Amino acid sequence: MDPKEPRPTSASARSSDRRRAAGREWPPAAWFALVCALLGLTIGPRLIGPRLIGPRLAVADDMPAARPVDPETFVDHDAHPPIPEPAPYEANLYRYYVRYGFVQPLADALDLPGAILDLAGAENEAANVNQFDEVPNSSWFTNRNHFRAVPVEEIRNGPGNCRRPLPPWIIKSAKASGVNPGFNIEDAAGERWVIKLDPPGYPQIGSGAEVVASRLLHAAGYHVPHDVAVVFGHDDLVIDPELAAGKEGADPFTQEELDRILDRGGVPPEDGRYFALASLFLPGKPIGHTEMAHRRADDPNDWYSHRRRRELRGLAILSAWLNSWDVKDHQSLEMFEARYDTLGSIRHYLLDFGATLGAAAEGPKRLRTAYEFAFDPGWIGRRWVTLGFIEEPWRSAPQETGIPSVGNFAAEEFDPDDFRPTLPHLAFQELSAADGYWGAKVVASFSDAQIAAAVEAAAYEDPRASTYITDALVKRRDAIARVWFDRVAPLDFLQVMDGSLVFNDLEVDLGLAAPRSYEVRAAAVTGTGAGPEPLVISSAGLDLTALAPDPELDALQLVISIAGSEALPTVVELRKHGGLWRVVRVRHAA
Amino acid sequence: MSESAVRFPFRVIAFPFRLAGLGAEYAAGAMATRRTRQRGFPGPGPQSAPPPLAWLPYFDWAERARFRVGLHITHGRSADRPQATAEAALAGGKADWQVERDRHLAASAARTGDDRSPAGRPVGSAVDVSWSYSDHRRGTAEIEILARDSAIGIGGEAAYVYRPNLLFFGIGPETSSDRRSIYLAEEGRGDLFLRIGSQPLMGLRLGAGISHIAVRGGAGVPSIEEEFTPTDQVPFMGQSTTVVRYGASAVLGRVHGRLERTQPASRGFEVRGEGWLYEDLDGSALEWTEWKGEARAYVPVFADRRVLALRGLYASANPGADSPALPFYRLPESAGDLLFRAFESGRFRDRQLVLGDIEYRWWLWEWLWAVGFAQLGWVAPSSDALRFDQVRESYGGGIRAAVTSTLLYRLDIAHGSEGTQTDFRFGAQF
Repeated sequence: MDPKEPRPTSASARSSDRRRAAGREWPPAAWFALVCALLGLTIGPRLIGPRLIGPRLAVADDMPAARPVDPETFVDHDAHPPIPEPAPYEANLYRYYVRYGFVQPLADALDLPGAILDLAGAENEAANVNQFDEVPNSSWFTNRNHFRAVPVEEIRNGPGNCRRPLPPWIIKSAKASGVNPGFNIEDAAGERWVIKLDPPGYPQIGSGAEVVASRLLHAAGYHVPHDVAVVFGHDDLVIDPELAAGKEGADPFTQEELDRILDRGGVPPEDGRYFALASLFLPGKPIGHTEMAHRRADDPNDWYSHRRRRELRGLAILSAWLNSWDVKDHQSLEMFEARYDTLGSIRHYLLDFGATLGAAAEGPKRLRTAYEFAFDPGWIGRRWVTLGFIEEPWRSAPQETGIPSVGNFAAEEFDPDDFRPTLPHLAFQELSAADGYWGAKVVASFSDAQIAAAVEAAAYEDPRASTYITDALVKRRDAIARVWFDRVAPLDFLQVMDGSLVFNDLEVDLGLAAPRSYEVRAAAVTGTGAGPEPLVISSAGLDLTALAPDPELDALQLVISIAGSEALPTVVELRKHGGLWRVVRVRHAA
Repeated sequence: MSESAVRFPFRVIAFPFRLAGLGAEYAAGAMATRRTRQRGFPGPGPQSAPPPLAWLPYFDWAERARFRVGLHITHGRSADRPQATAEAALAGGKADWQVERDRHLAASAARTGDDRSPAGRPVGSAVDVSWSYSDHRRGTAEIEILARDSAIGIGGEAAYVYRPNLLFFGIGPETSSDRRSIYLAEEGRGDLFLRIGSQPLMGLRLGAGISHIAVRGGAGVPSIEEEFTPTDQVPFMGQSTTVVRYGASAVLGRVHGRLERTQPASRGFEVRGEGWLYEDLDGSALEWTEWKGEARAYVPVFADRRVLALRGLYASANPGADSPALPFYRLPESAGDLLFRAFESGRFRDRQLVLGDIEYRWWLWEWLWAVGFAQLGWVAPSSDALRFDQVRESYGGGIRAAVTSTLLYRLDIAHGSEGTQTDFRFGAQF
């Protein structure tokens, strides 16, 4: 064969060559470039660093046409009309792990339409905010500490007002779910409790974390069970005769079975005490977890896409504060509260806070936990690209406290942007700047004394634990406030008093910033003529009469920012009624 | 409107992937739920009594989007599966990837009592069988009479291996990749051993056994008889041999490394050596000595999560003075642990084989590591004939998934003078 003669090739290859020659097929280099461009567009930003706004999901699909929030008040009447008891819903935990542990992170990493929407600047506002940029009270959330400081006694006593399980405890059943061993009991007062034992070698690590987190989340406004840290002995326990005989066809619950559960809960010290959490049964009937991905089809009052609820988005910030790394659908519970015979409404609870602060079910949390998703393509990619030389935040953060009842919990070098729950949380991923600000505002509303009261409720026997956790929560609160208040101007509680618009600068209130000046840009939204020129004011008060002297002007829009700061401004709209201005709409991070 | 409109075409394109994801979710949910029920209450401490027999499917990734699906049977507590797998050596996983790249059905069983040696190895026996769609068949059985944590142990191993598509390119360093041929090898062997020492990295093993190998034209073209004529003088082409062997193997090492969970060695060294004397049982007058030496070193690069791993390996088969040339199928060859990574399995074989590996491994996630490597390999008829200009180089990278500290999945892509090769394997390995 002539060496210059082309080698015979397969039919498909010849066909491919012809198409390429005719210009109808892209050359391999073009395909490669296209794939690289698409991957670069989608994965690139995720490799560079965490985004303020997470990957977008199709959140607009299931939105109702009208909003039930009373725009001028703080009540979302979502307990009305009463509904029949919905069917119980049980999500398969392992399916959930696969979906949110592996499928969702990959989908997010390759979320090309999300990247397009981000580039296009598509809006991602929470749905259930009222005109004052606040979350209304509802079956999900009740505004508490950031509106009215909750007394420290209330925080210490918890939602159940200091109730404790009174011995003897009659064991009604073994605990059926979760990692921690335990049992369900009825106490001497006839109340039902769930008992969760602390892991071996780490007394109070789980029970303490649960109590602290539940106290603070309740004071923040979330519905939580009443949790108390308890210490009990073997003699406090009595096996229910029905259970011992084999209730409902089950095997008899023997003393050996009880001993086995207690052994898994930790070797008791010499005095024979066991450390555990007692969680009071919630009122109503449990009907399953709250699913972030879907609204409840059989609850007509479940108006909003869950991932567009601000209190669920903002929970990301509280979770970062409390290091609540295992937050997921299964850490919630919906209770049906019957009110009219068979009719009633659903109340949405958060629960199971054993994976907060420095705790995990088996003892201290792993160092990587709370900094990376269980499967985190972004961090995996960064490690791969850097040949393993990148220094992850969880390596440098001083997490290891050496205190058995605290575990691995960093007080210093905490950056709220580094926080990641174990599994991607749909509502957290939708977090907008305004949602993050709201969450930070709630966190920042807690005083040192309130935090100390929550820690005190855990009754740590190791004094180092109380001191460390209180100090850590204070420092983490301040870190959150600094980060978010530098990102979004913390100008809030705007109202008109004596003809002046007054507001609070939360960062100044907290002592994190010195008194400063503000820049106000005004525009008339109705009426005649353009608004006044930009104005710099030196205190959190603005004379509206001087700003808008025109008596015909009946509506104003003010954009207030912090002078010399890049924080996103606050926009406030005012209307004149009866000759007096009043605030009708507030938007942060506008 | 806008977000839905932007997403709609992508949803249409991604629909098959969404279905696949849903399928995976359902499968994982059903499987894990069943496992939880079998294992009883999760968490630390004593667990409820497990069922005597647990069936656990496993899934292996396979080249060209094929899947290797098998059934793994463990006898005992399902939580002991990794130990059982290590003992039974999971036939499908230990297959030579390049010649068995096909779906496997594999099953293994091992006795795994609570009585463990300090090294975590169970006492008892192991049985392992597998069959691949390309008709590879394998069965192994191992039994040890004395407990593994005792200083001395006595046991026996038996194996039957049927491999219909092994590759042969000729003998020596100058063979051509154009002369690729197929042959079939069927081997039966049995060994008895005396073990001294209970530590996995410190011990001596004395043994004796019998091996019978029959070869003929394999399942593929060209067969060895078609490609290699008598003038090529391939020793024992088409002839079976039966031999008895005596010898010893020893290992000495000290490695450690534990980041958060399972992690292969990150620092330390291992030295392994074997010496065997072979004699014929079939009148062929064969007699040879076989030596194999291997040294490994693991050096952390400022942290245990970055490891420089080094390996040097030497294998030889030297015929006695009165022995005829050794059968081509009993020569050291670049396959299995001795694979030249950028070359096909069995590409080189001769009486001497030398291999040098240098790898940089770095931790990615949980049990997943990335690796970049360079490898040099030689074959020669004698140690004097090893020449540097005949070295075969392989460069590449891959990933390693550690199941236990010694058992791992490994996928490599290597490039060399004859192109690019992928290699996927599962088992105890470098």
